[in-house]
Amino acid sequence: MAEKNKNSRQKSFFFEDYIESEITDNNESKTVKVSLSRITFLFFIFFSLIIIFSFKIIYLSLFPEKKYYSFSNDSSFYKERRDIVDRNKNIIATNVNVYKAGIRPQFIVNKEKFLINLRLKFPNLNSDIIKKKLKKGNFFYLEKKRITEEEKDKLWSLGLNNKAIDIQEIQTRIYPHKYLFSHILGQIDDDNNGISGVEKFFDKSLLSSELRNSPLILTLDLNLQYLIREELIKAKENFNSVGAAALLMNVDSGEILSLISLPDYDLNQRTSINSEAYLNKITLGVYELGSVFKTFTVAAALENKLINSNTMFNNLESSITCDKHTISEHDKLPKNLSVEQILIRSSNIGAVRIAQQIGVKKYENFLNSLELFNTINFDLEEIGTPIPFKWGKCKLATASYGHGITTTPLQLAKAYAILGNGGYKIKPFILKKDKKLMQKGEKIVSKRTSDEINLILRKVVNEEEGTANFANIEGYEIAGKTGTALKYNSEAKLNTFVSLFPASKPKYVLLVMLDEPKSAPNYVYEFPPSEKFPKGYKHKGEKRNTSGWNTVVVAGKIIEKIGPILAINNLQASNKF
Amino acid sequence: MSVDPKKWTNTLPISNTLANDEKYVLDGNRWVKTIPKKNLISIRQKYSIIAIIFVLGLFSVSTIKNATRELQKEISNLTTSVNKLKFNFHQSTVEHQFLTAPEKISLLAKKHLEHDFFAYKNSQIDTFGNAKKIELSKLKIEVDGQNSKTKAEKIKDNVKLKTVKIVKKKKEELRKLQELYSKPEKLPDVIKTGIAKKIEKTKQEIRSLYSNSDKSINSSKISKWAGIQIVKVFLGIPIVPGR
Repeated sequence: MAEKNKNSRQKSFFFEDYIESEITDNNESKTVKVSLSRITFLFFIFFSLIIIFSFKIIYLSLFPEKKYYSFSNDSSFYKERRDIVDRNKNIIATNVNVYKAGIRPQFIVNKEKFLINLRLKFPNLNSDIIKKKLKKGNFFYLEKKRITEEEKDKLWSLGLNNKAIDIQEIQTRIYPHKYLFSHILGQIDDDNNGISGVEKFFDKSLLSSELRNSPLILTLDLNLQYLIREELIKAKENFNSVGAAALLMNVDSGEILSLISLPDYDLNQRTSINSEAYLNKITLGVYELGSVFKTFTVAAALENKLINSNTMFNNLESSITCDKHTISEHDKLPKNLSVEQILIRSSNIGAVRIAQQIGVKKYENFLNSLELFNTINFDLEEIGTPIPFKWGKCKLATASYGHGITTTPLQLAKAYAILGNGGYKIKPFILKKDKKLMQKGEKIVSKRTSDEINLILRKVVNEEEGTANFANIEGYEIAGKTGTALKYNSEAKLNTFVSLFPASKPKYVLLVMLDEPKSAPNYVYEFPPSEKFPKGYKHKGEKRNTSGWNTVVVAGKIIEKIGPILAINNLQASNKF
Repeated sequence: MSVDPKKWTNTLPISNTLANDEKYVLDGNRWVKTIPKKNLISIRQKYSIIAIIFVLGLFSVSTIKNATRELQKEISNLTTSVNKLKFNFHQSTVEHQFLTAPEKISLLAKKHLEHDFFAYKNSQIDTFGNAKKIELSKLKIEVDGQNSKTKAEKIKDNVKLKTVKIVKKKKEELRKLQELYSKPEKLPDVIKTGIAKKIEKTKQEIRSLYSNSDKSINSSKISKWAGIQIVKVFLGIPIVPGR
């Protein structure tokens, strides 16, 4: 037997060995079976517990955040609406945290004391209304929609219990420069949705959570905007106008550097603006702009090679009658004028003669190519549509000097930019673009016409007979054209001056407009140096109220101030270096 | 003809016989190796090892989890502080924007600066641009500088002259006095008598002091002297000067 057992442990030979082992297992099976079942049972329980716990751990690992532990000091700040910045990244619109305070009257023990304290701490609140609301006993919000951190602390210092005051943190939009960008930025409602201007036009982009940390960059320049606005405010006072507007645009790209329309409003006040006086005069205002259209008449004739700048128009009448309307000159002018002189002296009859030479179709096509009568595609909601009209002989005559046809100042500036930049079509914009994405537009005017127009417009400013002498600021080579128009069915005037500078290779177009200006006899005009007066001279008591006597002066002052910022620098000076 | 069996047998290749011998030798181990070995570890051991590994795994998961949680807390705290800093930065930026707005700056300029800002006039730029003008202006400055130098020198010379005159005068006076003291016989009679009178007067005073010393030192003088000494004591000034 012992040998048998010995053999059973021997593993050298297969068949015998296995038979032996089977036998031994069978012999012990009864005793092992009982213990194995218990162990299996216990093992099963533990195993199932382990499985449950492991599942729990896996679940926790998969969803670890915030659900199971929170951090009280977690104050992540995210803006509900993107910032808006200018071209130099100066913030012009941003969101800040403020508070909204509500009162639960049922938890206020001494209402009289509360009212007295409230009146002491918030003297501007209407205590009668609060008294009534307290009497009603329903939950109500304080009259003041948004309270600051300090005001919140003041409220807590009233000594009410936590349940009586309900303070909620909310975000609100603020505009650090108040009035400065009012007509561009527009407004938002209480739910942070844009209702006008850029806030409305780029509403989706401004609310985008993906772009939350990157601001919306505009092409506008804060400093230029401020300087131009200051000059316009002064002009509004000096010439007693009801409104004023200005636009500064790059002639090559169409990017707008400044857009001002007066009167403007403080964006932080959130007042509803319904008055027509507050409309954006540059983009929404549709006006008959007068003599500034003569430039297009001359350009159309030059483009069609019907004339050159020295072509003479002889025996010009003092007045022309067309369809019961009399067209006459604003001033006494020589009877024989060259094309150049017609523009320099702003001759109405001369312009009519040129237009007649062009013909209705060609003239219409030329103006249409400059997109003066379409609704412009622009980055704002507030866009005006020029009043449609029918072309005819009389319309041709009046249109030649800018009467009987309307457009927006933005479109006018765009057309001047095309004439100034060598004839390339541009699209004005205020949302900053990558320079690589900007392509040169279609060529619609020849370089020759562009150069000739720039030269004549320069003479409008620097020649003594020119109508825009006040804008002849030394060194800035300003070119431009004045426009004085009467408002429809009114004696009130709308004076415009469109300038291009530097005239040798225009880079910027500046449009200045005064709405209903008056003559300024008390204003001291400073004449620039001329041959007669090499040191210039001062003049007071002027009664004329044409563009040359107001908008030109304003434009000159603006360019004098913004010139160094635009880094055009004095061409004369730079040539000497 | 008898058949020689060896004759044919010898024709068989010898090498193959050896190979066949090897081929048909049974190797027991060769087959045993093919049989799957009986597991050294029993099922119980296997399960227990798995269970131990599993439990250890669970413990390690929980420790790792705890460590991760700590790290997450730290990260969360850091994120909070970053957010706070971001918020503060935003607030400061807005404040900065408000305070440095052109409107504010121009108001401050009006309040604190004497003049409003002016754009450069062409004439001003010309002086920078025109090299000749610059040279001329430099020359002017130099000439002006020279003028100013000569003026200063003139003033100095005047002062010098005046002082020299005064010094000369003083020297002259001193020389005269020295002469007088060295040769008293040359002194005028009026001065001589005056000096003699003064000498006589002081002599008389000294004599009277020696003869009537009790009279010269009266009570008021003593009290005055004593008072001064007391005050000196209180103020810490030495009573006898020089000590």
